[in-house]
Amino acid sequence: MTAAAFSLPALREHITAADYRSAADTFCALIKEGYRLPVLVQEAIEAAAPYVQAPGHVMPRPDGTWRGVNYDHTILGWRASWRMAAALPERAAMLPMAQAMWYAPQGLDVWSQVLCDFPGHYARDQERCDDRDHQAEIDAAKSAREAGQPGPTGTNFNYGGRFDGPAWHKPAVHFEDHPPMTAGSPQERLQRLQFAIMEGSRVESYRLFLGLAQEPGFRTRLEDAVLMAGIIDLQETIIQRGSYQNIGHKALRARALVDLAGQLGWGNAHGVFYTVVPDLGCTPRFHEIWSLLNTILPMEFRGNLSQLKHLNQAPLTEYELDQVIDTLSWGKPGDVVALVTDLLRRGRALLAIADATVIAFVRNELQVMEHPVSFFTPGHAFDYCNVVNHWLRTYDNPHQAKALYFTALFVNDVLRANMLFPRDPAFGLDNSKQHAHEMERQSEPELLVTIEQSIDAQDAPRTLAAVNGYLTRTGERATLIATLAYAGSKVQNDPHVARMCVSSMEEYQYNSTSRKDDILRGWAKYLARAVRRSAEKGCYELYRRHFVA
Amino acid sequence: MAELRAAWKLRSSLAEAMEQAIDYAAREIAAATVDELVDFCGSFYPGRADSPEWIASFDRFVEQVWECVVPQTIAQVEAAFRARGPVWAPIANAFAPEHGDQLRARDWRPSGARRAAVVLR
Repeated sequence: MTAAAFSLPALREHITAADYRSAADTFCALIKEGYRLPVLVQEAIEAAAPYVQAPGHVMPRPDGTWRGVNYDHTILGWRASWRMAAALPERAAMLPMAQAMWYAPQGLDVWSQVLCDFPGHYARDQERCDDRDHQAEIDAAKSAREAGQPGPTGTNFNYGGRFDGPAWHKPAVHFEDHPPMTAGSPQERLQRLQFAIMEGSRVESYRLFLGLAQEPGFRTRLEDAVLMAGIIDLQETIIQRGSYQNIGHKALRARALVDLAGQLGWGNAHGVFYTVVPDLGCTPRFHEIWSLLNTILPMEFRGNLSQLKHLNQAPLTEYELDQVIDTLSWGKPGDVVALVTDLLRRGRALLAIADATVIAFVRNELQVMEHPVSFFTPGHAFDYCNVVNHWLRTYDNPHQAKALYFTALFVNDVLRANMLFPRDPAFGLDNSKQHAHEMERQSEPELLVTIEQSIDAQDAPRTLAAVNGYLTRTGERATLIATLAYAGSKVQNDPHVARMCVSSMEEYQYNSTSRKDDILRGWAKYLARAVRRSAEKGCYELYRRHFVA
Repeated sequence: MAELRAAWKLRSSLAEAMEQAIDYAAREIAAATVDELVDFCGSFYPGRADSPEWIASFDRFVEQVWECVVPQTIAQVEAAFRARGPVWAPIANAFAPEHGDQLRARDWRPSGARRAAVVLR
């Protein structure tokens, strides 16, 4: 590639051509040439925006059934990577951004990818479009997924095929851009926006949002409304539902919008809005939990419900924290609802309950999850908790007490869903204590190296032994967090990893319980054990060539 | 003191009831044919389970199988599930000899206890 080829038009061309290696190469070259990061991110998001919508997240089959269609993850990668960069030393700071760029061209036009009509990681890894002659193997994998087995839908190391890109035609535009709608008062439009999203009026909700985005005085309320719209659209259960679920994606996308608009500036964030907002009203939409809470909570709390955030200030006791951990892992949904109500009735602070929910999740991650696939769907619930907790920490909304039920029910549901398949002894994990003696002999800097190396090797017991050794040895955390973030930054083709990293970092920062170190342990275990979409390190090597070598 | 005594009496009664339940299940498991065991194992898969909690109790069932079923029968159960393909691998692996060895190796009997420690869920 010539130097002249490293340009913004070339970057756009590589993105829409699904030529991810060239896009990442160009991105890194332009950073080195002095282009400002926000300019490049805006350009990349705008280039992809027309091609990341789907007509729906369920696709009809000729036999009358349907299959799921994955959600766009490009925007999640950008949001998470940008946040991760802050935790890393300067030489590594752009690695997560390079990963986001490496991924984005692989995540366009998912609808066509699942039909094997456009290249990308869904076509290459999930649908295995290059391997259609291995139909029996593909059918076996699909039958496992359709039986409800949680987890990502394919890891493939067979790069270089047709579906690895570049594309042979342009990606499809499934949702055209539209002009803002500005008629009516901002308050009326804001109220209408929420119902337009719930009804699935995608064009109207998008146009309303664009109009409201032009009202600087309404931005905080607009952020609050969009986050709430994403949070309350959550399936009651994923158990036995196959792909008819959203596993929190609406909330995750809303958070990406808020973060990226803040970083780019609202005037530069049209590509972000185009990427996120039309999908909030996309099929399927779920408001059963919202309906449940609006029915039962007024009976319990009457007029106080909207005031609970201010009225309830008490922390949880250690016993109550144990109750949350036990109920979310082993209770049934009714037990979860009863426990949250009980805690609220006892005057426990909303954020204290939210923090306990996070700890309950990571305790299960540490004590129960073993199979690499078992981390994948639950990881979405953890990230969803992070969105809700950010909403609780940052905004003031009369419905926020209800959010505690959403997070607790979602965590409980994904953990119960993991019970759906008998534990496989072939994927059992050894006890990390067997490595404890080795870790005792290592210095703290050596432990950090061990952590990074054992995550690279996907050796969970050794990783956890090193993390435990470090946590008990010192109160220092920033370097440990940087080490974990760096290890996560090496993983390519998977924005879930970056997203999980930033959720862990933020929840660790704010968690008020005595057990917040478990968040770091859970993060380390995820990195060292959860299934990866790729074992390759092509992006990492590319980054090193540009910035380290 | 009276409440504590009552609580301990209830606990001990339930322990005895639990032992009877475990022994009853063990007798039924030992007497089951290969076909019956295969059919029962199928109830731990989503299409036939009444809840995730039922499926999660499979580990406890496997422990009892390794306690009271002869190795030849277990091998036949393993072979039946191995033949069904990768979706059923967790059940087949639960009846692999290596797993049986692991379970036997971890059998732990507290000092003075009537039987090995029992994990209920």
